[in-house]
Amino acid sequence: MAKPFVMLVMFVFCLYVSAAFAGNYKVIKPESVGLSTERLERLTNLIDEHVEEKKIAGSVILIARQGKIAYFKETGLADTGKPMKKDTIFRIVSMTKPITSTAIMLLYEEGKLLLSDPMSKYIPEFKNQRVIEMLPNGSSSEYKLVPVEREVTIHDMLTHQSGILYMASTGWFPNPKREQVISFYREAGITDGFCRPDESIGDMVKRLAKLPLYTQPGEAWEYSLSLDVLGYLVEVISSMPFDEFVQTQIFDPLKMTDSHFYIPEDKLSRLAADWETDWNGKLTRVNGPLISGDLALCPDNAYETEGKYLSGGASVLSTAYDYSRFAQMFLNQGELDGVRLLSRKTVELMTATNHIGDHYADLLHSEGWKFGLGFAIQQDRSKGVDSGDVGVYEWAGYYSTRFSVNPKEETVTIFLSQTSPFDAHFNMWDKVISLSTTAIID
Amino acid sequence: MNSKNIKQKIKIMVCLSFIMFLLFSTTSWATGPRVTPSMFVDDLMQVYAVDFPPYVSNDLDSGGLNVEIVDSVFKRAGIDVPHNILPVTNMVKYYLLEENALACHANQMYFSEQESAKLIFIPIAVATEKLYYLKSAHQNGLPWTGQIASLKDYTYGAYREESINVFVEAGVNVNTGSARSLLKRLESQQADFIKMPELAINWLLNNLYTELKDDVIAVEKSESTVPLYIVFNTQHPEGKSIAEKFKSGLDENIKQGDYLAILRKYIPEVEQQQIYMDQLNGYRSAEL
Repeated sequence: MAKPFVMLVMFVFCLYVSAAFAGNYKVIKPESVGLSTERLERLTNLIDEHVEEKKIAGSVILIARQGKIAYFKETGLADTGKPMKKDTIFRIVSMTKPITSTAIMLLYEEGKLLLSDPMSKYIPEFKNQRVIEMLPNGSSSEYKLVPVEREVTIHDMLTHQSGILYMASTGWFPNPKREQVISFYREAGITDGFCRPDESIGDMVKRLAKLPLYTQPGEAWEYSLSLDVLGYLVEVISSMPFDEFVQTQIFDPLKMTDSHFYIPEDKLSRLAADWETDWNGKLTRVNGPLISGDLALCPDNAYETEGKYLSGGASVLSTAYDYSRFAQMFLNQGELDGVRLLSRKTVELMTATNHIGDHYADLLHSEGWKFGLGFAIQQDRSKGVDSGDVGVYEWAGYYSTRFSVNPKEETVTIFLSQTSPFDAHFNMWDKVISLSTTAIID
Repeated sequence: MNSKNIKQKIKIMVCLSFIMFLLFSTTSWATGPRVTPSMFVDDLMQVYAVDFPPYVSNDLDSGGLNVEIVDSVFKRAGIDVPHNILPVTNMVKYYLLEENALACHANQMYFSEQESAKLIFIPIAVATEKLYYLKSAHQNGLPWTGQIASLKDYTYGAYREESINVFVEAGVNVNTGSARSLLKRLESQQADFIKMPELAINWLLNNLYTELKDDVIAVEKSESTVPLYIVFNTQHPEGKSIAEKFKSGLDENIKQGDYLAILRKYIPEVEQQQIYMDQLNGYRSAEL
């Protein structure tokens, strides 16, 4: 009589376990970590509305507190006729940058580099750089190229103070000086990395290093290709291809099993499509490249299962769960599930708010946000900041992805969608972060 | 004080000074210089060039055919002038014309009359150019008759700075790009035909665009030769004198066979080498 009973208990237990760990994700009751189920429902409603109004096709949101997933919700479509799933794979684009910064900091922790090292110590093409200065009308040349006052350092690259630009920035902040620098980029065949060129990252970086800088190193905060440069620096210092370094030193230890530079063939069906929205009910699946001025997006490149280009600023594909593990490692001061990736002191260094002097990281956010070594950090509540706390750090990706880590409240919020254009999404993202934060009730 | 004492004092002073010097120099350099010595490289005493493989390229250990030729001439003349290969034509022109750098390779570069008046052009190589098209895009070839007008309404992929008037006047559309990107223009059908040195297109097809190797076809009877120049700047304090030394050095290198030894690496066929040298000597005589 005892045997069937034990078997029944085992069966029920297995059912429970398989339900609770569906897809290996254990989601706990929000109240057990001080979050309100009812308030989180507001987030569900917000996204449902956006999907119903065809502003976005779908999304996955994951909120974890105290290391436990309390909200994990997939909504809408991943592709035509294909529902969004928790394990849908997204182009996280610029959310690659914190991963690249982490790779650099791993080498820093091994004593292989100093943040104050000049880039030319490792990549000789960075020697003798010049900075562009525009000349008045009527001069024999439109510009002159003046020597750098000091060499560009690894720290400049990590904090976007190198004087390097993104080509797409001609659309964000147009001016003649920027246009002149970007005209050099165009002729030299530089790309922003959103489309994968048929060359290695080293080929691109060596050309980029020979082109004039937009500002003197350290003179301004300019969101840029600097993290692509650092991806190549990882290759130079580690003598490993950048993707192999990231795989073995970051993805494997953190068990980020669905994060890749090039998607494995057996995961192609899990890749979300990109959608173009007019934010007014017209939502179209993107087929082919999206070109607007100097901004070139190639969402179809994500279907390539192999290639040469490994952009440290844009190439990684990942899931909400994987990225939450990466973010949780930071929240845990460098450790996850017993694996220490970074020292607490390194995480403190990366999240310090005094890396960029008087500048603000005002591309994704408004003033009030500084930039650390990989992400923007909230510093000043007097500047129209909507959510979170001082010390919150976050970044985003071009196809509408965003993450936010709140060390004070021990929360990680991941929002992943695949929608273009990028600009329309600030309002929705800020609401996602606000509703995630205001779900805290303890 | 006798002379022996004076000598001893001098000895002590010299020893002390030497010790002080050692002490001083050790402390001041204990952490090493924070600025790399290369920060002080003379930007003007250089030969600038734009990437144009296999004539000039960072992708080649030797720097390419033209770089090897120039380096060997400088070596013979005992002059130390490094090359600086840049990815952008306008930057090369900027260093030459605005900063008065010593010299540049004039590949893919076009100078106005006013600019040319300040420059000394010396032919150092010869390129055999042909028109090329994609077989997959033009199965029946191009209707080339030897006249540009025969390609009216087709699109020509030109170098960024190339003089295109003759094409425009003939009704040919023009789409510009760098040497490396012109093949991409063909592939994406943004250009129907391009003009490129045989050596350059073969290098690109063998090294960068292998997938296009069987698809890129030369237009029959479209062959022409052009000289490739090094350009010295008379506005550089040593421009004229180094140009003279360069001419003599080049003469000597050709006579002594150094030039041919370099050429063999790029053009292995003996018959082709002979044709090439005859053409080069023709251009050199014309310059004289």
